[in-house]
Amino acid sequence: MQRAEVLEIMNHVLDKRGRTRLSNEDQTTREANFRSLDFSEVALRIEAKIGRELVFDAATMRRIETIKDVLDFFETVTKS
Amino acid sequence: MLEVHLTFDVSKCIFCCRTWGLLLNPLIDKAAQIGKNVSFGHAVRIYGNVQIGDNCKIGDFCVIGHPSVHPSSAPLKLGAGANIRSHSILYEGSDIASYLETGHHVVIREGAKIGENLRIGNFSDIEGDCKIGDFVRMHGYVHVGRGASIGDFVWLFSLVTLMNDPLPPSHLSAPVAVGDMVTVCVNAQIMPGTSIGRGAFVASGAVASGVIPSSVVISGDQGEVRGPVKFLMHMESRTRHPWYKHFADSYPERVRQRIEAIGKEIEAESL
Repeated sequence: MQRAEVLEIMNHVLDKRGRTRLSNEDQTTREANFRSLDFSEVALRIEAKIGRELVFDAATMRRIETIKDVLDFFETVTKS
Repeated sequence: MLEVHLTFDVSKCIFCCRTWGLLLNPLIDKAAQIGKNVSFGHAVRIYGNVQIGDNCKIGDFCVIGHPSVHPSSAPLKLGAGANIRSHSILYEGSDIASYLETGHHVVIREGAKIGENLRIGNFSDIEGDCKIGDFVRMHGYVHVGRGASIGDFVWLFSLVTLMNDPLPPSHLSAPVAVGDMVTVCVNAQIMPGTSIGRGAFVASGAVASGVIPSSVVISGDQGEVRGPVKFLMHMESRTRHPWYKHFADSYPERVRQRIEAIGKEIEAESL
């Protein structure tokens, strides 16, 4: 999945919760108010869109700190 | 001017103190079967239809084997090693395995079948005819409605309510079923007849209803499925769910293999 598509899904989830859209990839997830439940929802929406379950390495997921890391993570797992 | 004369009768005072002292003694029915090394606090009441295992501690003002309002001849069986803190009331007709640990002011009604090492916090209550698995953890002010079924290693945090009347008040009953290793966070409300699949995570304040699949996260007052539980991660500490991978050390070592086996089973089911 393209990075822009992942970003759009993330923004859609934030819109739905009435929160500010993502504007800066270097923001930490905390600064962007992107919470654990949002992360899980983005994963669900991506899985629904690509029609398969995402398989990932737990260590990679644990390295996530910024919005850029989230985009990198989903970009990678949707390609693998 | 009004004069008030106060008199102090020493003999009456001594009588009162003695009476109060007697009231504080445990009142134990001779028919009760009590194991070895069981200790009783002040003013405990033990009814006759009771079997208490070894090494139990019964705190002040507890009532053990309270008569049921329903016809029941089954005794209250309280397994070994229980620690019942003050002001708790356990009704007759329940079967409770070893190492029950209650907070203060806990009520367990008749007909409950409870597994090993239930820990239940202050002011929580379990209504009748419930089935509760092993190593379940309930924090304070949890209400478990009549007939609920709860699996092993379930967590119910404070103020969680498991309801059972679909049209209150009525004689209808639609108990809740909670699968193994489910986590229900603070103040979540589980509507009557809800079935929560194994390993699911109910976020704080959620209102859950219907059939909730295994290993999903739900949140909000509509009980919306937010995603798979495996993506649930505390973003700051990067601690991930399911909890058994980072929190099994809070259980006795002898059950950790069992926790891991159930956790892996649930993960396999969700694939």
